[in-house]
Amino acid sequence: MTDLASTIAQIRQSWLAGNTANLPDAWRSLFSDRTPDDLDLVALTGQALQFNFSLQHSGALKFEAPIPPLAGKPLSEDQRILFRRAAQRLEKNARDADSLIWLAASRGYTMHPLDWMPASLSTPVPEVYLPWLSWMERMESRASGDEITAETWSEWSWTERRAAADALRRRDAQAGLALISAVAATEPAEKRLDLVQLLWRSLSEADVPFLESLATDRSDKVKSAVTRMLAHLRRDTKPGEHETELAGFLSLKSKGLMTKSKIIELNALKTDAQRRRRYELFNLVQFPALAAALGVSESEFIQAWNFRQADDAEYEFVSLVTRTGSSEAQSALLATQREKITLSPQAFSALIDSAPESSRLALLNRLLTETPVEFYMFEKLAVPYCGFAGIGAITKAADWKHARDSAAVAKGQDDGADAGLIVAALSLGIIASADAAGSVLAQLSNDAYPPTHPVFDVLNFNAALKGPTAP
Amino acid sequence: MPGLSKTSIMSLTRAQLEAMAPDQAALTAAGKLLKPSNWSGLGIDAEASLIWGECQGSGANPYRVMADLSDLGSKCTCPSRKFPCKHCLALMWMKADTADRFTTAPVPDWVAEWLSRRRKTSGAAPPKTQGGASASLAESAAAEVVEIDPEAEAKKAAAAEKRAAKTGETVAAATEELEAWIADQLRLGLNSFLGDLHPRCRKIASRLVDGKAASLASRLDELPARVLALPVDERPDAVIAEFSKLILLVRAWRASPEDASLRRDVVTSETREAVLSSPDALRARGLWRVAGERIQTRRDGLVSHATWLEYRGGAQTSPPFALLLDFYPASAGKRSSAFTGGESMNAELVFYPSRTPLRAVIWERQNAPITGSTESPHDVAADPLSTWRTQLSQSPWTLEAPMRLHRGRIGLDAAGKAWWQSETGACHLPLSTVPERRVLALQLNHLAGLWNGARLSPLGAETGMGWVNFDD
Repeated sequence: MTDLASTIAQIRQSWLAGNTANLPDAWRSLFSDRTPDDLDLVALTGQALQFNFSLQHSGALKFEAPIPPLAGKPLSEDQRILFRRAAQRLEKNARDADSLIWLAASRGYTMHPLDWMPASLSTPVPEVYLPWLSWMERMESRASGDEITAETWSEWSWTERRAAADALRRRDAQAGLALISAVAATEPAEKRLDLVQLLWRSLSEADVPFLESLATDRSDKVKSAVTRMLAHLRRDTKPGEHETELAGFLSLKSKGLMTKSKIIELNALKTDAQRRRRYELFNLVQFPALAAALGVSESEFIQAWNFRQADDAEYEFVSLVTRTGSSEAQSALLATQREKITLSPQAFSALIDSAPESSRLALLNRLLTETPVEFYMFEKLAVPYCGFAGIGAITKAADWKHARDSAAVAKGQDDGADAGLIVAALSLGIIASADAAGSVLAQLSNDAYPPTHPVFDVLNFNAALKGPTAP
Repeated sequence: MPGLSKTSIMSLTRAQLEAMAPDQAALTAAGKLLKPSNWSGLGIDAEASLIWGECQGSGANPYRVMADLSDLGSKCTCPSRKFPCKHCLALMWMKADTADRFTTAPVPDWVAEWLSRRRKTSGAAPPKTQGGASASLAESAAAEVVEIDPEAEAKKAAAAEKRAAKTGETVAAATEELEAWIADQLRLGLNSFLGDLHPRCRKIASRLVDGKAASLASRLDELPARVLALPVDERPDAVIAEFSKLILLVRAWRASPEDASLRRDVVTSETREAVLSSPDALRARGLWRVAGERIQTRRDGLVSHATWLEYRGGAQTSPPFALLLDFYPASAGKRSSAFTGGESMNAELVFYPSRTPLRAVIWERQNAPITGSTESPHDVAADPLSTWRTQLSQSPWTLEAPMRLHRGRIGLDAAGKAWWQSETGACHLPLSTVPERRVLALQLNHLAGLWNGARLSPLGAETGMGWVNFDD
């Protein structure tokens, strides 16, 4: 302790107990003209404390590993303001603000880490953010001390367990499998299902023994997931009880007098219970096995399927093919829509969701211009092609008239929020190209809704992202 | 049509107005001011480059609103912190939509005076005015509204002097009571004081309000919060430092009761208008960056809204920081901020008189593109606390002061407390709170913060990835 610190400590001690403190000899010369009182001593001591700040940290300081820079162009400060407004607007309307990340990435921009970071290691992100995922992974394993093992599994929270298992599977597929297979049985059905689903990442023949061991799992959902994985690996074509039962809901008929062709139709349902069961079965069966149960090949099944029989069944059918069908079956399904979209918009969106990346952009544009689907439907489908739509496609869309009408309704009225316009403006902000966003702003804004109105926050952010790769 | 013979440069569009508006609320509010009944004296100069008008606001006197169409600079006498305010936006909006409402007329004194200030640096002569003489906004307003009766004025001045003398005596008595109170706390022991902090401070604060020492009362009211923000073992020293500053402040005020900054810290602050009209007030025009904001609800029910600006260079020398301070009732609800952290602007600021000028008001903010240096002309001291010591030697009662720090990072000690550390590792300062984890993983190239003698409260920082606000 220095002399000054020791002097102040003595003074402090006196005042804490309510005693008079003595003026230190070294300070006496400051008061040659008068006798100092307690207040003089307080004034001096307080200033000495303020001038000689001496607090020290306990132990060595620890620093986080720096967040790595990204390859993309960081948003400018002005763009960051627009991003924060747009993200807030989407969240206020219960929408996923991550679409903005894909939109910005499609134009070559990246976020500031304080404005956005992936919510978890399993959050789907544009490839440019992979360095951040690696950073998060390092941080998570460091924060939790030793790496998670089957022995320490129970010491971690569920969120940590899941994230650690996912990270391990991502880093080392075999080690991830070993961990999941060792601990899956200790978790309840919902969490067990979640763990098993992690195996979709790098799914391979090495996973088959473990998946087969779950064939008798207590949970139907786990069994169903396992069946899908095994079917994916083995292209299983042998019909099981579910396929046989679902085949009973369908009829294979012949049509045409001279040239006979096959047609598969849905049998009429008599009760809601039957409808629910059919729905369940569509989610349990494998498409190749179902085709086998009807005695046709996968391609024949698709050719024979009678489209537009019932929208809900059609969506289930398309989902079944895209989920469990062979690549040939999926191509055949896509081919049926080449000339004209005959699927319901919902079923077509399911098709896009699983279509090869190379054809998704074209399918999105067709969905926009050839079907009456609302802009809202595109928000999820458009990932990772946010910002895909030009103004020509947007103004051809059936929902465009509705958006214009909604804006016109508000014109001349006091500032207010029109629900239809809000929904359309938010979605258009995500799917429009930069130029199209500017055109949409010009066409939808009016006295009640000037271009700076909060309803256009997402469009304004979009229009401000005129990157070198903007369409 | 009068006054519409100008080039396209002088034509305004709605798009320009929208781009200029600080937020949607300002634009919406401006839209409600477009009715002719809100305005009087709408005028435009012969060159169609200046427009002006008077808008009836909520106060007794109309606001004087003016705009220079050559660069879209504008000025209004309303107290709004938004720039441009709704009145300026409305004036320009009318020019864009209904230009025929403006009558060509000679430029009024108050517009010419504003224009002469704006054009001082460019060397352009102010336009001819109605009166020919120049006066400050406040002076010209007073001159036009009041007809002066010398005898009545003398009586008023004498009465004001008498009132001021009486107030001075009351405040002096209050400051003596404060010193006696501090001596009492020492006699009773600081342990006892720390155990009874709020009631004791509230009691003396009430006495100070009675003694017309409103600023001191506020300081005492907020003292418990400042002390209790620190760990228990640091609180006795914090109390000693608070007492020390109070003693030095009241003694300095008793020695120079007319000193503007001391009066502000003891009695009350002068009005914004008084500062703007003071010929001696320090003015600084240049590039300013918003370092950060702090919005706090005080014990007296007021919300204090502080905005810290950092000087980044310009034609004149200036203090390194400026503080824009507003107060409004908490019952009025949250107000939207007029600024964004990291934002830069060209502006002229007028500082409240002080030994260490800091508090200021914006005299004029330009919409012109940002030009000039982006590096501060002020050096960053190797020892960050040296600026604090300089501040204390000039105003030892200072509670907190802004500082600029070298390149560094924030780390955690063994107790989980956050510290800023310079890149060299030579300097460490404790932080008032632990920032979120992502901030700990950023290299801070330049940090602006507030030091209160015990803790650093970061305001904002430059990083390789962009600006970071610590008040988010």
